[in-house]
Amino acid sequence: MPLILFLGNPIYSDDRIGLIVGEKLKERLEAEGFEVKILEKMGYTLIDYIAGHETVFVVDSILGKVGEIVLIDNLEDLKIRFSKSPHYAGLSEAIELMKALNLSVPKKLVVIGIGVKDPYTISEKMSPELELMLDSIVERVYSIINGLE
Amino acid sequence: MSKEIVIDPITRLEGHGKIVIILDDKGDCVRAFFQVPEFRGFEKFAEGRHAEDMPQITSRICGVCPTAHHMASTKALDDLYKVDPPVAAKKIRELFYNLFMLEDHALHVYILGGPDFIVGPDAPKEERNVVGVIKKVGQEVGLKVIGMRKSIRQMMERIGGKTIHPVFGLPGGISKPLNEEIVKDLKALGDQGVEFAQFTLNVFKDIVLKNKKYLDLITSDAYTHRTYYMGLVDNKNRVNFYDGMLRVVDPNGKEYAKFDVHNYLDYIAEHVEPWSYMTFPYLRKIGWKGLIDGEQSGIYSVAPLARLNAAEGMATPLAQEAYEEMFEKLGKPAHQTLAMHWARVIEMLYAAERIKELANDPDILDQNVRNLPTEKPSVGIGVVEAPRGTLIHHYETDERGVVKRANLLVATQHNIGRISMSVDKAARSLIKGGVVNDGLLNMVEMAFRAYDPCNACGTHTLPGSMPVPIYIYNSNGELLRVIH
Repeated sequence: MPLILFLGNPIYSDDRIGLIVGEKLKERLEAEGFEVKILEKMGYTLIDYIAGHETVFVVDSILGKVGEIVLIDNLEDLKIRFSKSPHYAGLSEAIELMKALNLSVPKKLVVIGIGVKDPYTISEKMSPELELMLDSIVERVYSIINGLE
Repeated sequence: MSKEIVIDPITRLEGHGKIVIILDDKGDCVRAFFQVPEFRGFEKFAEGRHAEDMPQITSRICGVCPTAHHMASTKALDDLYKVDPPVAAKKIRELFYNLFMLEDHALHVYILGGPDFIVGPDAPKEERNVVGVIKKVGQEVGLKVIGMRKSIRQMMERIGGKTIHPVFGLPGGISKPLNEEIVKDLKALGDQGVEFAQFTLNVFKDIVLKNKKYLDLITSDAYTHRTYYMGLVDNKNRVNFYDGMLRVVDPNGKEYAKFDVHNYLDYIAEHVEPWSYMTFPYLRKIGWKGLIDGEQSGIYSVAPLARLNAAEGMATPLAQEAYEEMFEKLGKPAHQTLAMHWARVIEMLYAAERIKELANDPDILDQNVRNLPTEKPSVGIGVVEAPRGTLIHHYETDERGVVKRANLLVATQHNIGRISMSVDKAARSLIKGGVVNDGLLNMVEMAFRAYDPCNACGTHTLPGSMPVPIYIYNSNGELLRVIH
C-alpha cells in the first residue's frame, strides 16, 4: 500500500501547511487505498514509517515561492533542495542510513514540497498569501499523488 | 589585514547557530564567537493562553526535546494548581521520562556527536556522519541502535499517546494508568535498555578511551574550562532527571548552593552581550565577570558532565560503577568539555537501570493516577533535567489560569557562557598561521557539539546534510571568499 507522510509543525506559521493539507486529504486518500500519516516528526524517526513501503510520498513545506509545488524524486536533489528546509533535512540521510543497514528502501520516493515564505515565526496562523491558496494546493497535491499530473 | 570566518549554519546542531572566527594579520585566531538566535518569542506566544495547554504547546518548540518541555510544563502546572500527583503518577512520569532520556542520549551518542569520535575528528566531512559510524561499528550495531530507539518510541506512544508530542501529563497526574500488559513489556524493555546501554559504554571504551589520540584530545587544554556546575539531585545528592533540588558545585567540586527551583531567581541572573541575541545566565551572587572561567566567574554549566559533577553519585549500581571509573580517570569535577560524551553514556546506563527499577515497582500498576486541582492558580514553576541540561518552566497566571507571563530557561541558555568560551578557546588553540581546513573547523565545532546545544527554532540539521559556508571578510567588512 502506498504511504503518504504529511509533515509539519502546527505552531510555526507556514510550516503547518503539510499537516493541514493532510487533514483535508486523509479521508479521500485512505478511501482510495493509500496509507496516510500526518506527523510532526522528522529525520531518522521517519525510518520507522518508511521502511518496508515500496512507494512513499512526503508532503512538506519548503522555502520558496508561496504555493509553488516542487517535486523531488532523487536523493541528490533532496539534499540540495531541502538542505535549508525547516525540519526535514534528515530525510536523505535517513534513506542513506536505511541503505547502509540493508533495510528495505522505497523504490519510489517523491517529496512534494509546498513553497512557503515563513516557516519560522511562532504562530498558529499561516501567512494570508498561503491561506488564500490552500484549496488549490490541496487539489494539486491530490492530483500529483494520484498520478494525474 | 584581519579576516573574519563565519561557520553558518553549524552542522549537527538543533537550530540555527553560527560561529564567527576572526584572524589577525598572521592568520592566527584572535577571537571566536558563538552566536544563536533569540528564544523569547515563544514566551510571548504563551501569553493569553490557558496554562493547561502549555504542556502540549511547549512540546512543539522542538521536535528533538519535546518530552522535556512537556514534563517541565506539567510539573509547573502541578505547582500552579498546588496539587500533588499520586505516587503511581509520579513514578510513571519518571519512567516515561527516563525512556525519553535513554532514546535521546542514544541519538546524540550515535548520530549527532558520536561521529566525531567513532569516525574520527579529522576524518573527511562526508564520512563524519551516521553512515560513517555504521561503517566503523558494523551493520549489526546500526540495526541495534535503530531497533532500540524504535522500541522506546513505540513504548512511549503506548504510554503517552504520542512519542514526539505526548498527551500525557496533566496537573495532578497523568492521563491514564498502566495495565499489566504494558508493564510486562516495560520490564522486557528495561532489560534490553540496560544491555543496550552497557553495550554502548563498551563501544565508547573500545573506540574512544582505548585510542590515545582521542583521549589526548578529550584531556587537552583546548577543551578544558574550570567552571561551576549545576544539576538536579535526589535527597542523597545523586543524579535525578525528573525531580529534586538544584545543586551547584564550584570549580573545586565543593557545594556552592543547593536550592529549590522556586528560588532560582535568587541564584541565577542573566547578562546581555551586544553580539548575541541570547542572554547569558550566571550565578547572581558571584556576578558577571565576562567570558572567563574560575571561581571568581559566575559562569556555570549544565548537561551530562555538569550533572555528574554537581552530584555525589548515581542512584543505580552499574551507572555508579561507570561514574567512579570516569572520575578516577579525569578527576572530579571533570572540566574537560569533551568528557560530556562519556558522561552521556553513563547517563544512558542510569536511565536504563531506572526504567528497569520502576518497571518492576508494583506501585506503577495503581490505577489512581490523578488528583484533581482545587486551588486557584497564580504562579507555577517546574524543573526537569533535559538531555541537554536543566530546564525550568515558570508561569504566572490570572485566577482563571490564563498565562500572563512565561519564562522558559532552557539548557542551552544556561550553557551559553561556557559554550562561548569553549568555541573561543578551541579556535584560538587550533587555528594558527592562516591554516583553516575542514578538519580544524570541525574540531572547533566539536567544542560546542559536545553540549548537544538545541536552539529550538525548528531547523534541524543532520550529518552531512547542511552546507557549512565559511565567509571570509577583510577588516573593512568586505567579503573576500566563501568556502563551502
